[in-house]
Amino acid sequence: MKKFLGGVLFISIFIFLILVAYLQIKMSTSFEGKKWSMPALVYARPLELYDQKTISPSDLEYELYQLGYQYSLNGKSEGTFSRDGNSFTIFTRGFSFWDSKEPSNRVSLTISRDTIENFQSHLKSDLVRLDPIKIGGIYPGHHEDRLLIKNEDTPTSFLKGLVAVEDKDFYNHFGLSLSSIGRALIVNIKSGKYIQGGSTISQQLVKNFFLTNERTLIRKAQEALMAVLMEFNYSKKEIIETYLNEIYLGQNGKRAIHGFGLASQHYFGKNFKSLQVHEASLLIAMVKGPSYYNPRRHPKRAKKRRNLVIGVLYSNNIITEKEALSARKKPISVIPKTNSVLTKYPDYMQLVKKQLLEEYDMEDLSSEGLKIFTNLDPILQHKSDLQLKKSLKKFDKNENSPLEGAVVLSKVDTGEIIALLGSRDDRASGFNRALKANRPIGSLIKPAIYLTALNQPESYTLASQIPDTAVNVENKNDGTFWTPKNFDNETREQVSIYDALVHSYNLATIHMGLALGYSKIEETLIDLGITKKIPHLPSLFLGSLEMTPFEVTEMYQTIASGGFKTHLKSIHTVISRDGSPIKRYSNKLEKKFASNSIHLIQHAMLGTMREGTGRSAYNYLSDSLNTAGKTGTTNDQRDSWFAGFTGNILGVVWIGKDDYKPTQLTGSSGALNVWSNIIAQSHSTSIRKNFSDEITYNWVHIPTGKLSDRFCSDVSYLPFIKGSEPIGQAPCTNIGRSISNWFHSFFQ
Amino acid sequence: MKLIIPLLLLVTISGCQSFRLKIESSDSDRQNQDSEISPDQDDTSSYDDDDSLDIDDEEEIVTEEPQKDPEIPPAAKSLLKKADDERSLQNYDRSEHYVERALRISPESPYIHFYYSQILLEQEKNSLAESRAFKALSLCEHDKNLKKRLWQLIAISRHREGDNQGSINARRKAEQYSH
Repeated sequence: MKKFLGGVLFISIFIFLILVAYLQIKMSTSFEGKKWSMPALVYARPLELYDQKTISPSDLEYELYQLGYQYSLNGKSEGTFSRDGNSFTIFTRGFSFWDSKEPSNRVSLTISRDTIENFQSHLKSDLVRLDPIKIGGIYPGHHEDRLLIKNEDTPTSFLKGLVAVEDKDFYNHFGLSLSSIGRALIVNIKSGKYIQGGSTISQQLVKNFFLTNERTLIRKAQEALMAVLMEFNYSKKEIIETYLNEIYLGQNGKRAIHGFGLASQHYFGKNFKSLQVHEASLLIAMVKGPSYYNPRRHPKRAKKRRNLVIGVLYSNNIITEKEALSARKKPISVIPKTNSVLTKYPDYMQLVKKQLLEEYDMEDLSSEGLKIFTNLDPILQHKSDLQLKKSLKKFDKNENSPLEGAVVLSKVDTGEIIALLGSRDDRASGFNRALKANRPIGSLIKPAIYLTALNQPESYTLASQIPDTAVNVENKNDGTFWTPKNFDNETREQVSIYDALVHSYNLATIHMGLALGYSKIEETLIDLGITKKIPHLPSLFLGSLEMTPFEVTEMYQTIASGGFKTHLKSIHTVISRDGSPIKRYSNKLEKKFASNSIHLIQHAMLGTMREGTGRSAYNYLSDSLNTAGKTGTTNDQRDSWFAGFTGNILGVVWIGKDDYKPTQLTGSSGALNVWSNIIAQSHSTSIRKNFSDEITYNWVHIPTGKLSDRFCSDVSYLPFIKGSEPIGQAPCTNIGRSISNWFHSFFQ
Repeated sequence: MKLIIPLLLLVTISGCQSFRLKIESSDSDRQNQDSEISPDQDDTSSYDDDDSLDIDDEEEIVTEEPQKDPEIPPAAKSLLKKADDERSLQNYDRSEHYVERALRISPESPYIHFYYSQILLEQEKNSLAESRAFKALSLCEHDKNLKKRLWQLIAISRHREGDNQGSINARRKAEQYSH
């Protein structure tokens, strides 16, 4: 019997030791891994404020509210602002950027005609950067989100308060508090049910990390054992720091809010260090039950518990009586949920992730706590989203099934992507048409074809005459004939290259393409940034090539920037979780085309907007804003495209149906409409004149391509590369005003 | 007397020949005028063998921050000052960063683009420097001195890349703005 009992004891101890060893390994590997697992945080561009900056008062206010700034007349704390007409006073929050730490600053400014004047800052800076709007994060698969805080960042009073409320023997016990367990046991026996837990901070941490919420004896025993093991392996400092970052404090959609750092942002729109007594007390109060004490859903309950916590802080001499009284009087005020951390722009975020994954792997992105600064302009993104929705809703009335759309906006000089929409619903994370919808581009290809010609000034100028006559191309595979038509079903003996592009004549373009040859056009397309295989078929000249809106943006970027290729990028800089710079994505320019040729093609695209298929843009735009662009409409109007630019912004818009069914829209009536309305709200600058000594302007008689005079009829004021001007004078009949006088005034 | 007329004829013919030569050489200058993208055709017949870029020409480029342009707002100038401070410490990445921030405020300033091209040249990022210089040229309206310096910079960058013909063409362009 003794031997039997001895054997049982031995086996029990053996099993127990194996269990302990197993739990030890599980805990230490997971603890080390999870302890420092931080998602990457993604930010929009920081708004810079300075004298002469162009911004409207409503846009500035929008940005401040998106940042969670509170309106406050006395403006005594960071993250507040006040407004009196068009005058603002802003108490900015400090923030660590790639290049430096931007300190908190008090700024006053006035906005007059959408331009900042009388800019003054308390720290005497010429320029102040607001902290950037957080637009999302790259999370690990378990959807947890946190903002890391360290012990040294934590106010002592907060730590004391937390310990006093949750585990007052924390610094004295070994993971378990026998007195707490005893107290809880008595309460539970008296009530006949499980009411009170006697969990220490270590036990809570173990539960958060590894275990479920079930209240069984076995689960509790496991938790107790692991808490003891944790105390054995890690210091109190490490445990409390991990707890500060691990404790579950609520939900934001799919995202779980872990840690006081993130909770401060989520509930108050503030840094953890800036919390006041009543705010810190509320967060401590929520530890016991973040859903039950959710201040948004159960403010009364939350206030009651918060005041209880304030009482504990006072009775433990952590705060004074005066502080306690003052804190108790404060109402529960949390920021609206929309201002909290969320992936706000899923389509843009897809691009960010795509570009990041070219250099980082997903594990690093979702666990190293990187800070990613993007080029997103949230103001323009918001306006584009509203406009696309509004326009599509209007267009839908004429359709028998709903339309979809995509918008890509970039900066002309740098290739920075400032807005991106992949669908009519910006909030939905679905099929991103901006990045993934490959659609035939139609007439959007024409500038590339004519650029190929104009790159040979010895052979072609804007005045060169080309046929716009019927085309009949045999398909050698099946013997059928391709007989495309112009949009107006007309033909013309000859047209100028200028007119062919401005009015988007199909037949002339095919003749042009055949004369130039596929190889030359392919070279141009490659230099414009197209990486797809280019089919050597006549249909190429009418845009049978399929591209995404993002790829179209890449192509037009080179034209808009004056012939300089810049890589389209969503990311600006990346820093590590401790603020060390990791990478900066610089704006590299690579000259791909002679500025003279680009000048000519841009001139024709300017003409498109004033005289051609893009002229309806000026129903929405100021006449003084010079823009350039190209409309595109595919067969049966299945795709409505527009690509156009101002002096500072390039925009590409696509509208169509996912099932490729025809629409009622052309490039002009659809995509151009959206583009024009967005640009009208964008504070765009006019396209500037390209100052080249090698360009001359001449009045040219368009039907003949010969030199003329401004008072003759059918003339246009066209640029020529020196030495390629037309020879010969056209007879000047029917003296009248030229329709292209605006060119003359612009370029003189 | 009998000799005077033939002599006169001889002088006249000789004069016409030299005049014709001048026209031809300036014509070939125009043909070989810089195309901006690629070096011109390898037509060296009109150039002297000694007509090569003197390496001392590099001394002509002195990096200066464009503080003097009155069109650059104070905010951009502050950033350019920081760019220059970083440049002097050879923290080029940070210097470029500040220049790019300045360019966001004044994207059309040829002076800031010129400054950027100089920083690139200092780092021997020659083709990037050249592209940036062309960008500055596209924005430069009246300042002949700036145009000259930009072409000089292009000449240096091409020389460093082994494009001697292109470098010579650029230097000639620069010389045009000396008058």
